[in-house]
Amino acid sequence: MQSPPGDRPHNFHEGKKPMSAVGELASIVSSRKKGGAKEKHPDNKSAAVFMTPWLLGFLGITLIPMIASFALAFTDYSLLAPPEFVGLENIKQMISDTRLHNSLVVTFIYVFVGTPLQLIAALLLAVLLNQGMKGLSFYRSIFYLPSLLGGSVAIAILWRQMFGANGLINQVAGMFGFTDLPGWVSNPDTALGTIILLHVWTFGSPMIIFLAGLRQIPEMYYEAASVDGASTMTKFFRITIPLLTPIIFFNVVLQVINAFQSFTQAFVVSGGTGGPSDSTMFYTLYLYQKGFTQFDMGYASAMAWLLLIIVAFFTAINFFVSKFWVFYDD
Amino acid sequence: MLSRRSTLALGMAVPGLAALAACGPNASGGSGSGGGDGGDASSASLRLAWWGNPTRDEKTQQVADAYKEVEPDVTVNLEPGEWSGYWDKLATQAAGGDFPDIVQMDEKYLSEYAGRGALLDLAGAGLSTTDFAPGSVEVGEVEGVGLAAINAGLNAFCFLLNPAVFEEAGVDIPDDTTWTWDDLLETAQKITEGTPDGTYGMTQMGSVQGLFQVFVRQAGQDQYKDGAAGFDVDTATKWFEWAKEIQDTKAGPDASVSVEDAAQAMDQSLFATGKVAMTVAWSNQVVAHDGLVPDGVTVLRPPSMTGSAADAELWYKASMYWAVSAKTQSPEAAVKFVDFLVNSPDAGKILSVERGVPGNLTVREAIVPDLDEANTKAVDYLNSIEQELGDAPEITPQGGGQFEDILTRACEDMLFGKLSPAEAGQRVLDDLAGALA
Repeated sequence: MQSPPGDRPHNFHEGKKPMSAVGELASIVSSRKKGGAKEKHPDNKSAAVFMTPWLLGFLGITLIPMIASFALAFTDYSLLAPPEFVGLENIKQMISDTRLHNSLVVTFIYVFVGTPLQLIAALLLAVLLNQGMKGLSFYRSIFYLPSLLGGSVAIAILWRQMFGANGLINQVAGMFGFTDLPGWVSNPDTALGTIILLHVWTFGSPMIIFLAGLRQIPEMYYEAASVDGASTMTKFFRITIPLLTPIIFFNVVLQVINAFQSFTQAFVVSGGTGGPSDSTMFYTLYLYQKGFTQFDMGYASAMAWLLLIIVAFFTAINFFVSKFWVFYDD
Repeated sequence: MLSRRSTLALGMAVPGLAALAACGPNASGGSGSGGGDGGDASSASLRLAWWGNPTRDEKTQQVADAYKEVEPDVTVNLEPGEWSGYWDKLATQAAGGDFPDIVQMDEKYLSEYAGRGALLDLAGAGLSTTDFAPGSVEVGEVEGVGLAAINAGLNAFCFLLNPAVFEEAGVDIPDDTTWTWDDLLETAQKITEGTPDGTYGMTQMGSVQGLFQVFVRQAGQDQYKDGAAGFDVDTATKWFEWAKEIQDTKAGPDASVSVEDAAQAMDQSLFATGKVAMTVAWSNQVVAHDGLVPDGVTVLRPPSMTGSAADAELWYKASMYWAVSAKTQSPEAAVKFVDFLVNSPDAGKILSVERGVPGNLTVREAIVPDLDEANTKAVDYLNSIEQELGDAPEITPQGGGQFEDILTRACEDMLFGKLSPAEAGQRVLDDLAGALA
């Protein structure tokens, strides 16, 4: 963030250390309040121009659809005919919809089993990659690859084939004498497990963030601990983990939100059905089916808002609980 | 070191980036050109949407090209699709006021769309149906709308056999004029026994809606009656007991293999790969299956409960329809193009019987002599059952499009042992009542 020399009236870079984006934003706002807002700054127009794509996107595909979906949540809307106001009918229906309850159970299992496993995998690999090994950037890219691909349709199809009755997994197991194994994706007891595994496998982006966090921990703490004779494990649990808690917290919040919104994997692996016998019927998949294949967009809108409330609730809990375990250095 | 502030900043930056990345492909998804530019039949731009397969896509392209010579000023823009994504897309387009001018329609969704005023009354718009076989036009009529869609081809439900597997097992092909549901199971068991592990007599048919309908009709009921379920819990229970027997007697594969098979593309299916001797299909799919099996398929009637094909209660179904949007900007041009599709022998020769055997008898006469062997099998089958047909079934009511999913779900739960056949029967009725409400 370098200001062009000379022409800036507000010189907010005079800090001792470089400021974060938030700090910068705050000082811009405060300096504007002191009368800066009225002056015609030559950059204002171009700022508006540069912001237009984002603004259009935000209005067109976030804000306006959200307002519309809130209104539709109280209607009976078949997509084909104009919506009709029905008050709280959709919410009443949701209370007695057993498939909806089942989809919540499936989603909760996915979120609360998949996310911790994914973060543990990410953290362990980040620690491993942080050992200063040769070819680090190569390994980093390799481990990040699944995250780029994991949400894609192609990988989900590959997954379906690999975990099928005659898939790669069973054939390899067959070489070791395990025969008559079921098709993992086509058995209601194991189908969700395979999708959770796919989720865990996409540990790349939290891993990169963990890596960045690990780099920030000063070497001197470890040196001091070594002098005191601390073992590697002790150093990990007494230095690395505590100093990494803000990053862990950040990853937990983000990944929980992401996991609640998962759709592609379940859609592709189950062929859009959520089967076998609803065992992979994610909340978002059921929402999609309601809205687009069962002509009940009003109900789907109400479901979308319930999801928002659920995600907001768990995020709030996350922030509240963070007071007790996240350690900030400032 | 990490400060609270910089963590917050990270928190703002990363989702921001994610949002940016997420809007990439979608943001550019503008829709195609809107409808036509006038009500004039001789110059317009029409959008034609259908689901299908590569063969159908090619034939439809050819027929649109041929129409260029009939009406040089009418442009037909093609929007091919696949069954699975087609209905989601169509519903979204309808909601967004971007409905194509002409759409291929299915019986399951006909009243869904027509009942909500999305489709034009073709008879009112002057479409000629005088050459159609008796009974083949009425299947497109919806109460309060008129002729909402015109039959694009006739179909009947049938069994497909792979003779090579029969031969391998040393089992004779059964006589389809006398076989019963138990004969079917017995034949399939013999094949499973007479072939190596992993090869079965028949597919799991418990989740096949067409065969379910055959079954309930033979029990004197039907899928729908007066807009509600037309069968009772006893019949549904008997159906699931029969389906369970397929699994229990090893006539067909177990639940897990069946679920997987159902999700496969047609050319990867157990039947196409010679792992199963008998499957079921609608007769317009005979050609596609015939090409996948080395020696070709044999087409049989479904079994009957009494052992007489006269009681098989089969019916001619419109395999699909053509319908015109009620909001099209060029209704005359659109109807005229549909008229070309269903009434012109020239168009019929291009489209052949890929969408089913034409209901228009003049077109049928023009194309039947030139059909190849596979297509002839389908036409011969339809002709052979003509004297045995039962009453025409009631059109699928609104919400009935979900029935296949409902049946599949109950059947899977039953096959995986989560429900008894009686419970599965009750579930189907309950869920169907909920869907139709």
